[in-house]
Amino acid sequence: MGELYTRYAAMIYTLCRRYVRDDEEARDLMHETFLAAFDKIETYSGKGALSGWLARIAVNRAINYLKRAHWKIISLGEWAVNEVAEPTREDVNAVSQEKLLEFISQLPDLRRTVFNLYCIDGYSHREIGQMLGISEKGSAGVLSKARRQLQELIKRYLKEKEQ
Amino acid sequence: MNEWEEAIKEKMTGYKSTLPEGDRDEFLALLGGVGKVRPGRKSTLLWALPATIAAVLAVFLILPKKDVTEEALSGRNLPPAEVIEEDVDIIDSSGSDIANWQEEEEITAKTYLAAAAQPTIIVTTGSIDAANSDEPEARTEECIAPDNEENASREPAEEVSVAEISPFDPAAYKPTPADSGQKKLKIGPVVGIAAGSGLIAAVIPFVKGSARVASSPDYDYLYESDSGNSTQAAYNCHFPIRVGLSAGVSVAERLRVTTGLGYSLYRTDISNSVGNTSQYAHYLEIPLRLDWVFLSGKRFDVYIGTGLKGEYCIAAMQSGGAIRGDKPSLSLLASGGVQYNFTRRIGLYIEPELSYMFFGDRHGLQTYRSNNPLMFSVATGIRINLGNHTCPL
Repeated sequence: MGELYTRYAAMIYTLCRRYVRDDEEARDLMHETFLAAFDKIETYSGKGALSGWLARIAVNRAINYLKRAHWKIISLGEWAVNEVAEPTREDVNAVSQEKLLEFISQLPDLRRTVFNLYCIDGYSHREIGQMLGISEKGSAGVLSKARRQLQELIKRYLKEKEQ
Repeated sequence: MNEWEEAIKEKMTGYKSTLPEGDRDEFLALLGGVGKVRPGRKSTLLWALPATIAAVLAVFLILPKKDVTEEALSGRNLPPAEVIEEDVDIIDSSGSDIANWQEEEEITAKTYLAAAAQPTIIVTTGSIDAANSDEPEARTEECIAPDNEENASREPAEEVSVAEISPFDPAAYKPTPADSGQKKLKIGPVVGIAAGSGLIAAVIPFVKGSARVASSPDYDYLYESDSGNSTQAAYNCHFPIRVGLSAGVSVAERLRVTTGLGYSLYRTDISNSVGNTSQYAHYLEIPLRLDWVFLSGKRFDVYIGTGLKGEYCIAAMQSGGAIRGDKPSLSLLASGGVQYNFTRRIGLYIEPELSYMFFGDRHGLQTYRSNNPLMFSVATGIRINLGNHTCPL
């Protein structure tokens, strides 16, 4: 068990940090994930990577936590209205991973969750809708706002960095 | 997905942030059963305080208020009044003329007749002695008898048969419970308090008993393969059970403002590949409704109403542990009702109600209400009517 934790803790911790804003909450989620995994280890059939199995548990735990925490959604209308040019791949490569993690965590709960599920973890809008209790169109709309907000954050960061 | 998003995905997928110091030891301690992952949540019952205050206010409204009865004001059954001497002077000063004297007599007789029916009793007499007589008939006769020189020449007036209805007649005096010391309890007509006991919400089978929500992963969601196929959970949301108290305030003859305090229990069964669990959500409701009684009979009252209802989740439990509930919500109400009054005080009512939740964030909990914002329900119960209400209800 300790070996399992040592091997995958950092990965799961980073995943949890993408879904929740607080590092302490991310750590609690990670612990819950491993405790649940240890309890249900017999259900792991061996198909697919163990890391993927753990990641799935962590994602579900994170979504349940956010649901229970009332989806502290902050509607940042200004982010949605301002039209910002999309960053390039080079722009993104110029931003550190820790900084990207910080930008993602600045998104409101729902936008952050949809962005993580769609762009990083590879879920479809239909699956996201089922997981979060929203429609596919709603998921796409939230993703659009998340994209605009991230673009704004990345562009602003790069502009300040140049100065 | 855009190119820049692809770049973010590539950067974040393999990224591993640094764990806090001592984290491994802390986790191993948790694994050994030492400590908890999350501390206990603070009580959310603070939100129950406004509802408790509302309930206490409703109780105070039920308390009876002494009211002065109409009979007490009218003094209809008061014991006979004493002689008023000034009336004697009035009679004497106006009795110089026979015609006037007779007119006075008629006035006096009329006064007697009126006094027999009115609370205020004015005794007129031509003689104080006669007035002090204990015999009603004698007093009556003496009232029209002259007692001075001026009146001596007057012919005795016709006897007015007022003795039968004379207020001096003890037989005419009927003691009331008030006089006998018993207090008659009356409530002010403004407020009529209706207490509903038992069920307020539906027992009607034609209402949807439960709603099977589309499968949605939650809780012990486990990923069994990397092909995207996964085990999902199914929700079975049961129709809620509601109880509570209601209070009505008559604002017009057929209009009433109804409010109250209600409690609802929403149960949801969750099943997945790991097992089954149940979720229980407890809500407090405060409705505010305007009712119009458009049909009223001896035993039946029929009314319709519309208004608003606020709901707040005071507690939620799942698998024996507390979970956070939903945010407050607001619903639009439209209802009708029929009440059968067994007695003046007790009636049985049935109220079909249509409610639409138009404000509120219910993404947290899967309940019957979160999946059915437009909900039809039927409330039934016993209503106790207190007070003197001009409104039929």
